[in-house]
Amino acid sequence: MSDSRQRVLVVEDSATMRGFVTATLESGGPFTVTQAESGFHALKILPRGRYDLIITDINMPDINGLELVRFIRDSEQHKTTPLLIISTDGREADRDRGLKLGANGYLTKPFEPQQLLDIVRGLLHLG
Amino acid sequence: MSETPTEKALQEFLSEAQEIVEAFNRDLLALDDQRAAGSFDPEVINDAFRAVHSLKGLSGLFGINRMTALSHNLENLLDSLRLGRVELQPATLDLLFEAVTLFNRIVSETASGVTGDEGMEQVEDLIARLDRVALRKESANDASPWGGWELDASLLSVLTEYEEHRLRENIKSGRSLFRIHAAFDLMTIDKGLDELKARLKPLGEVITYLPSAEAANDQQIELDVILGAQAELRAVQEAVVGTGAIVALLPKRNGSAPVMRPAAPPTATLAPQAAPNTFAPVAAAATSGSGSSGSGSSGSAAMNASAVVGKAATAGVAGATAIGAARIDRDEEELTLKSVAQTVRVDIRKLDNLMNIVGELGIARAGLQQLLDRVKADRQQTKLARDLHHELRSLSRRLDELQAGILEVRMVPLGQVFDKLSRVVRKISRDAGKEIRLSIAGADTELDKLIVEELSDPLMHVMRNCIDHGIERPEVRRAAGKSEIGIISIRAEQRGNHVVIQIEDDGSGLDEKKLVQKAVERGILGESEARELGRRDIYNLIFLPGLSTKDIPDEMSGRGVGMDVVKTNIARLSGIIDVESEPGAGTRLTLTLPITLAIIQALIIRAAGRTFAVPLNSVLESLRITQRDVRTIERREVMSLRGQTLPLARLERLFRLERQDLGGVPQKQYVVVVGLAQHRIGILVDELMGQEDIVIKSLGRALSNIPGIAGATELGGKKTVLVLDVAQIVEEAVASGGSEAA
Repeated sequence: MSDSRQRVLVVEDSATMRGFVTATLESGGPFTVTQAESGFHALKILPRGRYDLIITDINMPDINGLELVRFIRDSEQHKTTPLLIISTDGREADRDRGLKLGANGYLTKPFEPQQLLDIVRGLLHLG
Repeated sequence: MSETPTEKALQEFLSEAQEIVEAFNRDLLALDDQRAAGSFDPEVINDAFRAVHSLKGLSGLFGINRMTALSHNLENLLDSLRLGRVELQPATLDLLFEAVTLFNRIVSETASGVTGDEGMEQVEDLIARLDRVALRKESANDASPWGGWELDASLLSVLTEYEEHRLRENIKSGRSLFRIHAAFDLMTIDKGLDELKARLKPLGEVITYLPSAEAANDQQIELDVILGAQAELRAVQEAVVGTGAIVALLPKRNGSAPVMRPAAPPTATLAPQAAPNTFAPVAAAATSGSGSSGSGSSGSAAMNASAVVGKAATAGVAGATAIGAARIDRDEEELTLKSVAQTVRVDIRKLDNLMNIVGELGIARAGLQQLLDRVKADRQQTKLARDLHHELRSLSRRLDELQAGILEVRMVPLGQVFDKLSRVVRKISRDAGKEIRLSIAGADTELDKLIVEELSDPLMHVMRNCIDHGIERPEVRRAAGKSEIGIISIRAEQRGNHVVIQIEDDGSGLDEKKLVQKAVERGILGESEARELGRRDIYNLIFLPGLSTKDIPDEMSGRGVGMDVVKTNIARLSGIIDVESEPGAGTRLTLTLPITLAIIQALIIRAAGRTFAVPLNSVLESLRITQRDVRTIERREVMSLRGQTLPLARLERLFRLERQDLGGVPQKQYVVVVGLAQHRIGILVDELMGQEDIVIKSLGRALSNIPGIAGATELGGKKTVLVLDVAQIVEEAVASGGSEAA
């Protein structure tokens, strides 16, 4: 892909939340979003993909977001890809583990579209 | 991007919320079942936690404050439950069931436009009660070491708080810990994992899955599954035989604490310092008003934070681009497209519209068929006729498939309603002081979505009736030599184009004497009429408004909610109700419902020289009779059908038509026996012309109020015929004949 669009992978098991993040990004900036509906689904997609940013929920069945963060950080291909975790208030312990494992930032649900865009732009150094 | 969610997004949210609440309800029912066994499946508690967790996140997006508040509190409670800080009490479970009801109410009120904090008091009330019952346990155990297990830091660091707790619980209960290493082909990982899970589940608890990045490539992935099980190594090995997985017992050592090796990559140190105090929840961005050009009013705290975090990621972006430039991958695109969610949500009205179009096509097909018949009649055109016939037949087949396909899309399993019923039964039986077991069969039987939704009210009333009036009090049951636990069983099955739902209780049965006595007291029946009633007529008295055999009106009957509502609802769906009862042994209600109302099959008849369509759903049978079979009792025409008296109706009388054919009353006639809810009548017709699939069209406002006519439909050749409204005809006949016609 030679165009200037930034490719974002969104890993989130709630369809509504996935749709919200996708719609916010795609209508709010030069982003192309790929969606994964579970940690496993992300594992399937990741080896073949190139992403400028990965956004993941933490609380997912089977493979949780933390395991995914570690997988991403350990993989040759994605070890430096900026990683944003989406957490919920009350789950600070899990969020902090995510940051320790190498996530670059986090957002707490619920959030406003503008908050998401701001942090994504910040992570990607867009103006 | 808009600040307020679009209507479509809200609709999607509401249907997802509804699904989550239903799943939550199923979890609670499972927990309720497990209560008797004395121990709860942690996985179910975790599922329940996840459900409210999702609801909280989603409702927050849409500003549905009541739902956010309620799910926030439930999340805290369930979090404590799953982390073992609080014990699950029966009273807590009751309140959780109340929360399901409240969630459902919030969903439906939101759907009908209620916004903001309206109704917040109920939420606050429930939260206050939840707070009172949730007793905190002393959580001294969490500091406990790993019971001698050597767990390396790289494992511990990726566990969520909950998984860590489960790991401790497994150790505490003396289980062994196993690491099962398996490799999966990317294409078949879902199937492979499901199989592995299914094999491990009977042994114990799968605590987590650890994907390994080192071994991953674009063909396969390697995983470690951590299992807690009361089993020998050999047993676990045997369980996974054939999957290629390798099982190892996690090492134990003599010391107490595991060695903590640092597991995090270098970037980790930056982020936690930058993030926690800057991205404080919501407050910072609640003002995100204009959304203009990124910086706007969205709160400077968030902006600053992005900048800080951004710095940490600089290297990341550069690195990723470099890798990306090296490989442009087609396969990835395909894989991605293929694996995104496999379902779509569709507004049912769109399906109605498609169905209408299919209906029109059906009419066009019938028109073609008539043209074909004309061509066939022309001897010169045999070749053309044959070709036309061939084409028409294949068109016809495809059209049938199309129709079946659209119908199938509208089908949902009855289980959706049955789940709700279990909850209601649980609550009512508790309120009534009766212990009741609900057994459900055929929950996967499918019906048109609209019908399933319309069924929930009547079925709820039937349950109430079974519990309030059918099942006896425990002491009465004991005295009668029955088990104290009453049983209500619901069985659903498909029979042809109908679904039959039987609801049976093992209660006292209907008291015929009392029913009749009540009806006479209320002036619904005359004394002499009462003596002539057959058994079925007596049972059908329960469908009359305000007739309860209970001497003391209880909460339910006091509200006037009764079987008459059931009758009305089922009749509206063109359903049929049968009642059977055995004194002392119980009562059985059989509901027969059409699978769909979108396209119906109709019996085409001729009466009084005109053609009509009778919805086949309501037709029980057609009989050939002679004039001699018709008798007149009290100026009403009736006939005898298998020992029962069947009232007869003539369409010409009903619609005040002149008979068009002057040949007098034909010697041979037909009777179409129709049923609606509990009533049966016969319609006298001159000719039966066969069955057709029809789509009912409204007659327009001017003609819409003709009693006995449901609408019109077109048959082939643009011939318009009227469709009989069997419900109204039956009611008319019953009303003019008094209650004996029931």
